[in-house]
Amino acid sequence: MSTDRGLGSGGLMGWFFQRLTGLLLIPAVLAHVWVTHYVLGDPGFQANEISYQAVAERLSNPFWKLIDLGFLALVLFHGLRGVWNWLDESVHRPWFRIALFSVVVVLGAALAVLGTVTILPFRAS
Amino acid sequence: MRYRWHLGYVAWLLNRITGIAITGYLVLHIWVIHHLTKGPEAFNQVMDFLQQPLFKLGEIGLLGIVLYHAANGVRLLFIEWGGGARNQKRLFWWVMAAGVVLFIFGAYPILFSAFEGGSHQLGEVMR
Repeated sequence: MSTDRGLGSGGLMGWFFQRLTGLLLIPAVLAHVWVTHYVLGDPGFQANEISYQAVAERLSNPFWKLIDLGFLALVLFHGLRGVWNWLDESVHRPWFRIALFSVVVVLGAALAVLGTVTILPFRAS
Repeated sequence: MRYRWHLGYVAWLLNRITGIAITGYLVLHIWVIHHLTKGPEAFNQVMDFLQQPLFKLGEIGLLGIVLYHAANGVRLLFIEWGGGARNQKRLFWWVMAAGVVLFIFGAYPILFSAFEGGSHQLGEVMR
């Protein structure tokens, strides 16, 4: 459909980046869940309780901040692009498409800012 | 156009549903973790609230949803970037089996921490 051009799914490049970010997210998500939610040690394999102290300890390392910011960028790109793919295929009225596309872009920007201000300037108090 | 319920279509449909669900969770997750900026008391208060059994069960559901999406993603990468598969049905069931193994591995300790009232007792159970 010619009317879909410009606001479409991004074609072949979009598909490629969705696969690429998906590939990177598999080890990233597994590592994220493992590091934040489980403890391996004495006594045994446990589900962890999240506390400010535990997160603060990790974020005191600039390396972890970088990892988390990269993870944030990957997951926002993949998630919101996936949602846009769905909307792109289901919504056909042009004005509604533009409205929803704007919502996705604004939501993405808001989440990127919210995530970044949480991670980047963090100092334990 | 009529859709037929063959495996590829069901896998695609579940991929879309789980993807939308995960993105919805992501919005809440970023908002919840943002409480880190409000200091230790505010953050730990939110975390304590989320330690209730209901949310633990929700986390187990989330784990299943994420693992399905990841396993199906591996399947797609095999088919599209890995040179295809001679038997696509068999590939589907192999990645699902891997997902189920990881699900059991991950869900077990969450389930115990939800009903034993804390993670410290789990070690005694699993030792």
